[in-house]
Amino acid sequence: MKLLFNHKYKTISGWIFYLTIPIALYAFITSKFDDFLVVKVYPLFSFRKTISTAGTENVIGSDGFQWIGNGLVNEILISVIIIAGIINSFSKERYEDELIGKLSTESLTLSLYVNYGILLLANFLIYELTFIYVLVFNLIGILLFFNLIFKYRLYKHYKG
Amino acid sequence: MKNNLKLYRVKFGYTQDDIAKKLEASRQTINAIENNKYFPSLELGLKLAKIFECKVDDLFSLD
Repeated sequence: MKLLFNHKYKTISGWIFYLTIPIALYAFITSKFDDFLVVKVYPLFSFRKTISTAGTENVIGSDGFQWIGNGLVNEILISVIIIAGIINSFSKERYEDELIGKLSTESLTLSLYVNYGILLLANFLIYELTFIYVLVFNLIGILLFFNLIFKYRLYKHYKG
Repeated sequence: MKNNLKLYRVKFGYTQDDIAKKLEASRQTINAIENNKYFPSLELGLKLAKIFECKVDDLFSLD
């Protein structure tokens, strides 16, 4: 397939992808890197104010369309994961033949089903601001599932 | 669908690896075709027929 990246990028992008995920997870959960690399950014939309009513937390207001200070670590980590994940997932195998192409397409379809299946479940099981964790996971969900499913199917293919 | 790929391959004295190299495919793909786990595209079928100097019908047929 012409749309795939060269095979030589596969290994390095794989290492970057799988090493950056735990780092990003740590950074996101602990918020320890929020004050690093603070630069002025221009958000198109940004909720800032929160009010608490009857045990729930709601956000109101916005400080979009104005310069604000923001730590760029999260943005950089997400960018690295997405770029490395895409290159790793869509770079050619050593022998890129039509059967590998078929396995790849099937794995991509399956990963979409799994990802949106989990999203549907989460939709009814996780509520309010906690749902942001689901959305963050969905940033890399399809790439991660595709990677794991495709690698497992390749392993079975080569073993067979 | 069934195929006579193994029969022709042995007749011509090729290994699965030889065929894989000629087709720029992996040996596992040739193995999967031989074992009816994968049905190749028309293009690959025609290439195989060319290697074995026969018709596609001689290699592949419906059950």
